[in-house]
Order: sequence, then structure tokens, then C-alpha cells
Amino acid sequence: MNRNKIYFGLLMLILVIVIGGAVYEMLDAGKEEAPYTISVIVEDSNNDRWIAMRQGLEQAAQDHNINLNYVFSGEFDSVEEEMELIFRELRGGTEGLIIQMVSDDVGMEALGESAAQTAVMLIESDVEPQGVYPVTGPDNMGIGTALGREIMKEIETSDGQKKIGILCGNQKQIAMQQRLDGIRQVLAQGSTEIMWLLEGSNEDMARELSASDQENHVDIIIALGNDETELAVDYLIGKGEEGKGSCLLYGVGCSEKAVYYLDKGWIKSLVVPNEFNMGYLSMEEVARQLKYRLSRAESVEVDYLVVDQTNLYDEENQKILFPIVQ
Amino acid sequence: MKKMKELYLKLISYMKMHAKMRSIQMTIVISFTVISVCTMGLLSVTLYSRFVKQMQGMMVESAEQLLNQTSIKLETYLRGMRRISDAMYYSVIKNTDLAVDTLDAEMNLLYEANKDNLISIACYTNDGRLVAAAPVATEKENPDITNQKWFIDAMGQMENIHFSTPHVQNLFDNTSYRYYWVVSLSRAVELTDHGNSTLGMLLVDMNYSSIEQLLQKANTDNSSEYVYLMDSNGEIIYHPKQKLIYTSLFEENNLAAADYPDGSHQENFNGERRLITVKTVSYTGWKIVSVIPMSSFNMGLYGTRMFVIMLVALLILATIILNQLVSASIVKPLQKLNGSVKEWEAGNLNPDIYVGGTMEVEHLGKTLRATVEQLQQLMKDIVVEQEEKRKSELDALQSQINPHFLYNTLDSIVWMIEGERYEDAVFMITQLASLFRISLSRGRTIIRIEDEIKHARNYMNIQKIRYKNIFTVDFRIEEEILSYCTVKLIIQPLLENAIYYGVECMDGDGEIVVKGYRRGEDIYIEVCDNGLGMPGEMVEQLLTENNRVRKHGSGVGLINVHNRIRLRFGSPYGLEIESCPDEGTMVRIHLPGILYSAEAIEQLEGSRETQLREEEADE
Repeated sequence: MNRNKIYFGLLMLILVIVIGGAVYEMLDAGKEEAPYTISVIVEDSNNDRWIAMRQGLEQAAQDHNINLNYVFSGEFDSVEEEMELIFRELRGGTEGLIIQMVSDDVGMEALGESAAQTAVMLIESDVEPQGVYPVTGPDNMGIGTALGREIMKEIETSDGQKKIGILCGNQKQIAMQQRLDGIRQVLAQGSTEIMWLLEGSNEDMARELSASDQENHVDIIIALGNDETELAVDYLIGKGEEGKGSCLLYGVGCSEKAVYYLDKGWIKSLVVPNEFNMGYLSMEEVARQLKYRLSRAESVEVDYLVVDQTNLYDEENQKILFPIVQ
Repeated sequence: MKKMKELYLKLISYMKMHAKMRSIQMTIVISFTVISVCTMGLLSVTLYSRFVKQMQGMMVESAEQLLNQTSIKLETYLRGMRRISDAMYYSVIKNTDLAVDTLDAEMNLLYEANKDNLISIACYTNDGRLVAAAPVATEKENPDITNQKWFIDAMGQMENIHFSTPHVQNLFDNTSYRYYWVVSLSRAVELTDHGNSTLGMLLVDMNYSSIEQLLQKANTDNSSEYVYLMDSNGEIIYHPKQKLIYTSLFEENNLAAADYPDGSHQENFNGERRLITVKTVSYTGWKIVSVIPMSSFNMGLYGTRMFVIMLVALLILATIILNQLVSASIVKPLQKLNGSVKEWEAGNLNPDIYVGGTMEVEHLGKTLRATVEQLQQLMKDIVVEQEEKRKSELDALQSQINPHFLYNTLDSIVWMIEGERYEDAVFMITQLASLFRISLSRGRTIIRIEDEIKHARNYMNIQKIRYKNIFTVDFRIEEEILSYCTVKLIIQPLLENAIYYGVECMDGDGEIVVKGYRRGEDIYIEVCDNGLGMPGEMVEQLLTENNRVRKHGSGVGLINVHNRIRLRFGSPYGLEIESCPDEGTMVRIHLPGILYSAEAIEQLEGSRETQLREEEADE
């Protein structure tokens, strides 16, 4: 009899728990989860080069119910200025951060303490010490190598040593260092001579470029970043029709301007990182870390295209190169 | 299979065993609950399945409606584009001789009227030379017109209007770096130049954004359901995740869906079950596809499922409680009645039989109560009857003393008087009178030991005269036992036996000793003689009922004395006999030490008297 009472009590208890659970789940089913907020900090946020990446970020934010905070920024004078912006976002209670760091030596230890509860993802380039934070970006060494190979194709079809000038962009970034390393490795194999190598991409760079080219005219200009490519194009256009034939421009970029001048023939060959994927996958990884707290966002490598005038309108290439939403 | 059978048999035997042990209430509760739960479960599953099917049907219907609406909008849009093309061809190109006039004015007019949906209108010769274009723009250096897909398609089937898949327009230079995604509507046209007809190509580039916006309206909600558009070969024209598909971050089952006929289909794609609804857009052969992942459908039903679970659990809970109450109301009276029967079984001869509950149980209770009362009455009757029987037997035995003993005594008295021994005769008569007085004792069975001893003395005095003093009698009675209770007339039969079987036939002087003493709480009275004695076997037979031997005397045997004592005081008491041939016999009376008082007499004799009095009153 006692055993029967115990069974009866247990049955009642189970039923009450089931009812309670079902009521809770029923009420909970109607609730929408509050979206996480993820801030994205990149240099010169309104630059055309970020259009594809921003599309990717927005698509991922929509897919994963994320409140995207794309932070407005100009060109950073120093990494401290960028860090200040990052700290401002952390203080603002952002739950995730996607950052393009302008320097590899940023003292991330300070960020480490403040961002202990925040999911952090670096895009395009890692920082020192490397491997602490996940990075979503292209194989920068591969980009340099691919660009180098394109140049080597040109060298192989012509005679004599080629003089080369390189706009190597912000060399404080590991990504740009790797691209330079990649291109150097390939160029070392051919009869080339690097006449000048210009760092940075500010307004003074145009004058520096002009001065360097006048001093040491080169057959090939290599630009390792989007801004550098646009700068070089502007320089060549500035020289008029003479500029188009005077030297060949090889660049890395993804802005419409860069693609346009590739289409127009001012740029010989362009390496285009898949920045849509960079935006989408970085956001997806951070969202995953926020959703599943025990997991950590992983580094993701995105692909890149090597395009020239002949394959610019290939069906597959145009899907990646040209943003659909105008 | 064999193991399954064994397991099944085990389960059945276990259930049978437990079913036997289970109470009625438990059986009722379990049976009702199992039936209710099964019925409710079946009902819930059926209703839920029906509900799910209906929901599914509604979703399909809703998807079809959405597709129809989208299809109508898209068809209207495409018809508009075709009208532009038709207007340009039939109203302008066919009526214009290019040697005399240009197409620019009309083309610009048409473009301006529809520029929200158009990127450009252009007319080419069959070798790819631009004839006219609107808006006016610089043609690219080498657009390679004749190798563009829209041109090849239109040239391939000149009688038709061709719609391309989305592509980036590669015709005109745009210094603001803009590249437009367009859907090209191309057709072969007949150009007139100097009165000669030549083949040309009319291209209307529709703004892809217009189609995109049109379909985006069908994808406004945030659920995982979506609508996409593809051409008849499965090439995607619009998809809410188009860019993801282009960069291989998302996959769509468009190639398989291209083969689906219009209507709803279920498919399994990348491990996900999906409900696909297809609608073909007229003329173009494009297909609008609605995708509803079953997971999203199930998510939508999650709240309903929880509600059903809650409802079923609540009903089960209510049913169990109700079953408990109902079964308790049925079983409780039965349990109470069962408790009464158990009490009766346990030995309580006067149990309080429960009468109550439902009509049937109440009737059972009443019947049982009546039966118990009847049984009690019967038992009382039997006890009284037995008592009476024993009493009458005793009385009959006691009455046997008198005639025999009286005859002998009176004979002795007569003999004394004849011999003029008047004093002896007086003594004899006095002793006889005292003996009868004690024998009577006002009808009581319990008397003082003192009176019993006196009765024994009287008897022995008479016997001694009769037997001319051939034996001696010695009474060694402790004073303290004289005031204790005894059953009357128990020593006299022993003395009679001692005379007849002990000392009567002896050659020498017979000796009879009567001892009375107390040991612990009990009283002992011994009658010893130095007579013939008897063997052990005979001693054992003396106190057994069926071996009663009667040779001499009053016939009041030892067994009678033994039974009378036990009847009054219980089985531990009675007679004990020790004897040895040629040495004599000792008979010991064992009595409880009960002081003679009114309460003691009432207690020892009361029950019988009360019964007798009650019977008399009834009569």
C-alpha cells in the first residue's frame, strides 16, 4: 500500500512537472530572443572598399538576428585613436567586436581585460602576439604570391629587366607585410629590380609616388591595398594617355573604382579578396560564439580572385565583383 | 524471438501476481486511468495530426496565394517590358529608315517614360554596331556585342523575345564607376536602311532592382520561409540569399526544383525536409518557388504542441484524482466492512460491524451484523446448555451418594439402637446431620475449605463406626488454608476411595492421612493411605474419562472430582495421583489460593447464576 502511495505521488509529481514545463515552454515560445549587438570597427568606414564586406555583415546579421553596429570612422591617425574607439564600444556594452586593426602592435593585453566578456574577431590582419584572437581574412601571403605570378607572366613575355615600384601600404599591418613578403618571394625569381617601395597611403603618398617615379621611372607599379591601387590609378590618369602606356599597374582591391579602371585597362591585373565572405563569415563566427558561450570563434580564411580585363565579366567573377544591390 | 516470448510470459505472470495482490481501489484506479489515458492519448494524437495536416494545407494554400500574387505582379512587369520592346520595334524601328532618320528621339521618349524600370534601350546591327541607345551614353571601347549571351540567344531564335538571367551590363561607359545588374530582353529586329531590310538587334535592359524589389516583398517576414525566382533551366534570377549562393556560403536545390511541375512537393535537401511550392510565370518560363522548411513549420507549431501536452497532462491529472475519489467512495465502505470481518476473524466475538456506504454494501453490513448476533446467541445457548448438562450430571452423581451412604449409616444407627448404644447412635446421627448440612450449603458449589474438612471429618467419623475402627484417620490441616475457597464435596470421594480400595481389605491397621497446606499461591490437600496401592498404568487410567471403573462406593469417581475442579478453576488445577503397589496411594488436590469472600463466590459462581437468572426472566 505504501509502495502504491509512493508510485501515485511520483506520478502526480511527474504530471505536475510536465504541466509546469509545458506552460513555461508555451509562454517562452512566443518570446523573441533579444538580439546581440556586435560592433564593427574598420578604418575609414565609408570607403567604397568596404561595400562588399558591409553587405556580408548585414546579411549575416539578418540571418543570425544580430544588431549590427557599424561604427562610423575616418582614417585613424594612430592606433591609439582606434583603440579609443574600441574602448568606447566596450563601455557602451557591445557584446561582440569585429575589428580591422591598423597596426599589429596595439597592446592587445589592455583590450584583453576589457574584452574578457566580449567576442572579438579581427578581420583582414592579425596583431602581435599572433593567434590570440581569431582572424577572418584572405591568405595575404597568397595574395602577394598571386600578384607576383601575374607580373611574372608579363615579364616572361617581354625582354629585359623590369623596374618595379611598390606601394606597400600600411606596413604596420601584418597583412600588408605578408603580401609584400609574398610578392618579393615571387619577384626574386625573375629579372626584376625594385626601384622604390613606398609605405603608407595618406595624401602625401601621391606626391611621394610622383617624386619617386620621376626620379626612378618604373615599368611596373604594384599596389598592395585598395587605397594604394586607387592612388596609383589616379597618378597614372593624371599623366594622361602617356600614363596608360608608360607603366603597368598591378593591384589589390575591391572597390568599384578599382574594378572600373581594371575594366578601362588602366590596371593590368587585380587581386580581389572576397570581402563579402569576410564580412559574412566574421559576423557568423562571432554570432556563434555569443550563442554558444562554450565555443570560441575560429579563424576563417576567405578566397580571392585574380581578374584582368579578359575575365572581368565571366559569369562567376561578376557575381563576386559587382555588388547586386545598387 | 524465444527471448521475447519468455519476456512476455514473465510480464504476464508478474502482472497476474500483482493483480491478485492489488486492492479493489488500486485495480479500479489503474484500470480507469489506463483506459482514460489511452483514450485521451489517442484522441490527442489524432486531433493533433489532423491539426498539423490542416495547418500544412493552410500553409500550402498561403504559399500558393503568395506565389500567385507575385506571379501576377511579375507577369505585369514583364508584360510592360515586352510592350516597350514591341512599341519600340513595331512603332519606331519598322517605320524608320535609318538612312533618313534616327531612332534616338522615340527611343529616348520611351526610355524616359519607363526609366524607373529600365537601365537602357539599345539597337544594334547584326554585326554589333550600335544604331541607337537611350539614355545617350558612351559605348565601351570593345564591348564585343556579338559574343554577349543575350545577342547569341536572340540570334538563335529570331522569332522570340528572350529574357536573360541577371548579369552586369557591359555596354556603356559610366564614369561614376557604376555597374548595373540587368535582365536583358533581346529580340531580333528588321532594320531599314536606304529602303533595304537588314537584321538588327533590339535590347531592352531591365533594371534588376525592380525585379528584386518585387520579389523582396514576398520575403518580408523574418521566418525561414522564402520565395526565389529561377529560369526554366534552374538558373537563379532572384534569391534572398543570392550573394551567399554566389559565394558558395549557401546552397539551393534549384536545379532539382526546375524539374518540379507546378504545385506543392516535399523534398529532402541537405538533411532538411522542406515543403516546396512551384509556380511557373507565363511566357518566360521562369519559376517562382516558395520554400518552407519543415523545421520552421514545426517551430511554429511548438507552442501548440506544448499546449496539447499541457492539456493532456492536465486531463490525466484530473482523471487520476477523479478516479481516486470515485474509487474511494466505492471502496471505502467495503474496506470498512472488511475491517469489521477481520476484527471478527481475529477473535473479537462482539465486533462493531460497519453498516453504511452504497445500498449493496449497507445490505451486506446489515446481513453480516445480523449473522454475528445470531452466532453470538447460538454460542451463548451452547454454553448454557453445556453448563446445564454438566450440572445435571453432577447433581445426578451427587444424588447417588445419599441413598447408598444413608442406607448404610441408618443401618448402623438401627443396629446401635438395638444394641442400646444410644450415645453412639446420637453421635452418629449428629455427624450425619452435619454432613448433610454441609452437603447442602444452601445450594452453593463453592465453600470454605474449613467446611469441606468438617464434612470429611463427619464422613470419616461415620465410616469409622461402620468399619469398627479398622483404620485410623489423621487430619493435618494448616490453619491458614481454612478460609480459602474450594469446590464442595471433593475430599469425601477421595476418602471413600481410600477406604474401599486402600484399607478395607488390609490385614493390618489401615491409616488414612489428610494433609492440607499452602505452597506459593496455591493450596494443596492430600489424601494418603497405606493400603494396597496400584501399578503406574492404573494410575494413568484413573483420570481418563472412558476408563472409569466402578466397583464400590458412591460411584463419584476421581475423574468427576478432577473435572469439577478444572471446570471451576481452569485446566492447571485438579487431581494428581501417586501410588505404588503394597505401599499405598496419595491423591493430591490442587486448588488456586482464593480467599473465601462474597466477591470471590460471585466471581466463581456468578456467570452461571446470571445466565440462569436471565433465562428465567426471559421465560
